[in-house]
Amino acid sequence: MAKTKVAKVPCMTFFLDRFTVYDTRIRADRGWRRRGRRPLKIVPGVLFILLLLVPVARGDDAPPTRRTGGLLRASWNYPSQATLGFGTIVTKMPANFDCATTCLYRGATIQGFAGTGAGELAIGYGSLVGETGRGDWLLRHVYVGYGVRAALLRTWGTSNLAPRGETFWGLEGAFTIGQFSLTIGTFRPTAPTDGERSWRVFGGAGWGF
Amino acid sequence: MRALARWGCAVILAATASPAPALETDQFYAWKRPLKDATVAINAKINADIDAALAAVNSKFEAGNCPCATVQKAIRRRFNYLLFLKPELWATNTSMLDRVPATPDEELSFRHAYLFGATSPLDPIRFMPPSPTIEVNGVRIGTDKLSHFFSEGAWLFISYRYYVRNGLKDDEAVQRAMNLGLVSEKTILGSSSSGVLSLADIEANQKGLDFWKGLCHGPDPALEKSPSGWRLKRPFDLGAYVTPEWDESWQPNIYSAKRWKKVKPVMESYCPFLSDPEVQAQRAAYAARSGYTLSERFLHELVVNGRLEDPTPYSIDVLCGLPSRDVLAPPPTPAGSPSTSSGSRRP
Repeated sequence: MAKTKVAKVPCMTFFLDRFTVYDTRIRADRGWRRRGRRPLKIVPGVLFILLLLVPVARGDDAPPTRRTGGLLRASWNYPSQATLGFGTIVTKMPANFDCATTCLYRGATIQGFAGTGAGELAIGYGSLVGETGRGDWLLRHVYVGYGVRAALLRTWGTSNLAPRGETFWGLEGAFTIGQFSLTIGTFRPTAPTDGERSWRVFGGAGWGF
Repeated sequence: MRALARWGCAVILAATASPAPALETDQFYAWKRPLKDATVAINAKINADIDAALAAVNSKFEAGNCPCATVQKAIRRRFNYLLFLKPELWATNTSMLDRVPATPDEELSFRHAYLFGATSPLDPIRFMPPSPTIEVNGVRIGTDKLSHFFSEGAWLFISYRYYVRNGLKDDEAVQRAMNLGLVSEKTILGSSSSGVLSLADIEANQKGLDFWKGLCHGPDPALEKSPSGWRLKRPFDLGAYVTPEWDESWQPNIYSAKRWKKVKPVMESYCPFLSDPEVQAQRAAYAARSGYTLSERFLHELVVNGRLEDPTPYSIDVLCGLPSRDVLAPPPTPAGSPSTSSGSRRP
């Protein structure tokens, strides 16, 4: 087959210490995709290393692995009032990402909140940018994020929602920006009594996610 | 219940109306610290992402049977996230790039040592993490510039397209879009929130507009439709857009009086570095490459018309008693007319 006009495009390849740029030839009539590499004399061992690093050569990092991050929230909510929340987010990201500084976490969340007026258990989906700081697991700062969760809430203690000791279920949205978080959700009693309003809006503001 | 609704509305309004904290960066801190050029790695990552977006579009629409704007949108969505763009998050975590601060531990101490570190925990600037420095095409930039380039650039492009559709000429549409961009930099993304108006951010935004515009518009758009679907005619090269004006140690910020009071002593601590041969060489290289960019021309007009404060007093040259460098003035040319260039390579 007759050779078509070729152009040179740098192609990144990881080779021992960080990257080395090789010239690759491409066909001008087929766009810029990699078509072939200049013959390189490489020992099988090096070839093996390069094969291990193929994802990196494509511009990716190590393959994604499952990991979890701890979630913390301190807030003032209605009806739970002064509330402390704790939970976890399950996500997948490249294994070499050290989330001491900002990482993107996206995945299922399970959270529990205990307040002076109510307690809440929630399960849902969250997407956030956070970091563990000097720790390993707990996300000490969540800079931005959002989530949707199904929640079960039971009033107790200082709750001014009558009757006390009632259980609600509902759907809640959470939004965090600059570590400042807001939640708002709509809930209804699991066993509404006659004449009781069915749906109620609960929400709160605080720090964390 | 009504009280709760009112309370909720008030909180939401306060949260949305209050200035969102902006990401800041510090290239002074990177002086005298070694950095390998990250252009190749970033290009590989961005091209891989664009490839993935194109593959998704081409498989969704048979043989890429959709307008260029749809492809452009798909690429934009591939990068998008709230405030932090995915390329920026990748750049702050990947082991493929050299960064200053180099390690997570160093970065956590950097937060107290950097230009904006001397603040109280309640300072909005502390609500967001500072961006590390990387080197692209010989220029040291904050990773936040990747978000400015892809995200703010896209917003400028959307404004630009709106103005073009409303009958404005290309130049006028760009000017109007940049005006809108400046409003966001002066309010939620800069001056009002953090007391810092970054000219380097505005430069990156404008280059982002060029990038998004260049995908489907102009005499030689980067996207083309082939029988097998949409493809890029030429690979993306960030180095073609990056100029010394992206470096905040070269292109000074404009500070509010309150912010300047805190930043000035930290900046003064870098004065001795100006006599260091390595720093001098870097600044000489910048001076040789630094042209008169479109955003500089735009900002210069605002300064001349009194609509923007002159950034010159905030430059390290002035602060350290060196000859003043008018950062936005057009450079003298033999013909006497200002030259417009954007660095060593053109996109």
